[in-house]
Amino acid sequence: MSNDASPNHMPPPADAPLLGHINIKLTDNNNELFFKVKPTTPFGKVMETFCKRQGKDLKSVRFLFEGQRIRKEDTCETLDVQDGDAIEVHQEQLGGT
Amino acid sequence: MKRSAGDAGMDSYDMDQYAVPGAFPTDDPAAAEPASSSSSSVFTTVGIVVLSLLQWLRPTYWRRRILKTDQPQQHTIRAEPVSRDSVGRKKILIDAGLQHQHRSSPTKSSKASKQTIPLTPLNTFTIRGNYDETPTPQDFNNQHWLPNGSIKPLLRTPDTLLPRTPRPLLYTPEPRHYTAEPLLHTPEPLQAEGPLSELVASPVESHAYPQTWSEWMEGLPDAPSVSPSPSPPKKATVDDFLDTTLHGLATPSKQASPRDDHAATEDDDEGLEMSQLSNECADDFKDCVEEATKSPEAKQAALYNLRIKTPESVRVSPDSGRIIRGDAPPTPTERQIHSQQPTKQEPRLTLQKQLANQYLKKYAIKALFEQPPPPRPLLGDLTPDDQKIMKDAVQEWVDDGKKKDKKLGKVSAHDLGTILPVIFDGDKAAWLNDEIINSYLSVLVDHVNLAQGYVYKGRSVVAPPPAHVFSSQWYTTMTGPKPESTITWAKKRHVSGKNFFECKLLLFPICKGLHWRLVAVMPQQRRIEYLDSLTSNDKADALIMSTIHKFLKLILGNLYNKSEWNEHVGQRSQQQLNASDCGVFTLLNGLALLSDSQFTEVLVKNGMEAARLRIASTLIKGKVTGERI
Repeated sequence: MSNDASPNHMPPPADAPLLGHINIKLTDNNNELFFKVKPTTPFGKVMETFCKRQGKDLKSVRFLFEGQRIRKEDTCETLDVQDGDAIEVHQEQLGGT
Repeated sequence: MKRSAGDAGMDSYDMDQYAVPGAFPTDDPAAAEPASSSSSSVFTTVGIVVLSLLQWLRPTYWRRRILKTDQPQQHTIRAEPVSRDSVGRKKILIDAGLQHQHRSSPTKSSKASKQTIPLTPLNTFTIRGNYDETPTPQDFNNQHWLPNGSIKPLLRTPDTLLPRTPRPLLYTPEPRHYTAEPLLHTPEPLQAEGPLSELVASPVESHAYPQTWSEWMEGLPDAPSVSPSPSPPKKATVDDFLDTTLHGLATPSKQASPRDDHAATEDDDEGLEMSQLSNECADDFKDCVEEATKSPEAKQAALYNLRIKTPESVRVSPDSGRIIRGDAPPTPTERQIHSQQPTKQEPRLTLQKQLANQYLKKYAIKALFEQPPPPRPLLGDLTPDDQKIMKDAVQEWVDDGKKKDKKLGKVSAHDLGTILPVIFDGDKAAWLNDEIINSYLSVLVDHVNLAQGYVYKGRSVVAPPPAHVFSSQWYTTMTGPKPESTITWAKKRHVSGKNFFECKLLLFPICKGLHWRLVAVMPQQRRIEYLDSLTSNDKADALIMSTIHKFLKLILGNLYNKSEWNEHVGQRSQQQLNASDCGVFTLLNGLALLSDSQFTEVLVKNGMEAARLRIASTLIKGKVTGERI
């Protein structure tokens, strides 16, 4: 795991994306965060950065790509995430009554 | 039994041994007491004279005199209180002839009438005459049986002595207790105290219905061993049962019966009637069994009917030992009354009767229930293997320092804390979170799909799955700003457009207002089912149903036609007993749908502990552990 593969939390540059990098958008319906990741970067890093920025507990948020829950070890490659795809961020749901 | 008569025409009136059945109430108290007025005493005297004159006209009287036969035979009628379904205890006592014995304030107050009135044996009638058979209560309705006027005959036959009308075959009975002992017209046991309690039928030990059929079988006696015919096969099919056992029935009971001179003359007739009975009974039972194989309800009804039918079909005539059909009118000498302990004159009749019933019933019941094996419970009992899974997981988690984000199988320790808060240090509310719901339903759906040979091979290989579950975030997305994004959810799984109708079942777990519920869509039946374990009315949540329709329209496009979709009205889910189990019910309802079971198979308990353990062990193992799916 190389250090330079860390996610970039800056908004994507208008032009000239880095070769081989994928721009993804994380949205929780209120905020949008853009990441530039390598295809082999595990999503765990993206999640941790997102939670850090938003001040959330990692246990209480869910990341979904096209209705599929993203695990920490998933990568853009395994999930077939294309450039410009959006990742949905949901809150934990609890129900009893 | 024999005792000398005190006087011609006078019958001894004994109060020590037996009680008289409900057939002989004395409505008028004056009739039972000695006549006080002069006019009634005149009538009594005249009555005695007339009765003794009538003795001269009776053929038995002269026969005895001329032929110098034995002492006049004395017959003792013994009978006991008979209870009815529709009347209370007081009425039973009156019927039992105890009205004047215990008149201690039956009308004073309801409290007094509720008191336990000790039953004492009441009356024994000893009647002179050369009668071949013990007289029956019905004979008392004939004048010549009437004793010296102290007992009035009944104007009508008591209900308890009338044959019961069989219910229609498809009548669905109320759940009730069945007795394994097939006696004919067994009166319901009286809870009597005192010396009569010995005479009152000791209740046959009854089991709650339904019980295990094998257990029931064991309660029935074996086939008669005296039969010269080969013993019936262990697994009797319907035809075997009809062919072999019924013909075997006639032979052993006939041969087992001791032959006296009286019966020997009718041997041929007897055999003939027995075989006729066999054929007719065979038809009855064949009908029963054929009806019963149609549906479970019919089976229950048939079993019930069988119980009714048997006594009607088989009746034993006491004078010849012949079995006669229930349709035939009872002969005067035919014994209708039920004595709990058969008298010594008729052991073989009782034997025949019981053999006929039990033998037929045993194989009819066997034929009814041999097809379906007893079903496994929806959630299997926790086995040592399951406990080991749990123990290992907990040990692993503890060894790792009880980290909340420790992954245990499909979910994390934090998630498991929502379903088993005691074990995994969760919130005591025990509310399930979305991870548990989504993961468990995914495990079940994957299992079902795999069983049908389906494996998801990515977006490019278009193949609709037999079943699919949308994650619980589907609802929040649909109600969010971008509901269109769920189209890609469906497309990715090949459940949109035309492919949608290839699926059999789509599950939508929904968390709305801190409450879990399940929506099931069956595309092929165009059916939407809303399953809520906590609902005050049977209506579905309107917002959720409109969201479902909105989604269907999104993924179906032109194929969507709202009128052909029917929402299942009426709540079919079991209801939770507390404020924390809705997630468990959501999962189990999904399991019931996926395994094609009834929702009623979800066993309702407060806390659903066993179900929670089962779900947790399945999640830790990552595949189905004990579920019947």
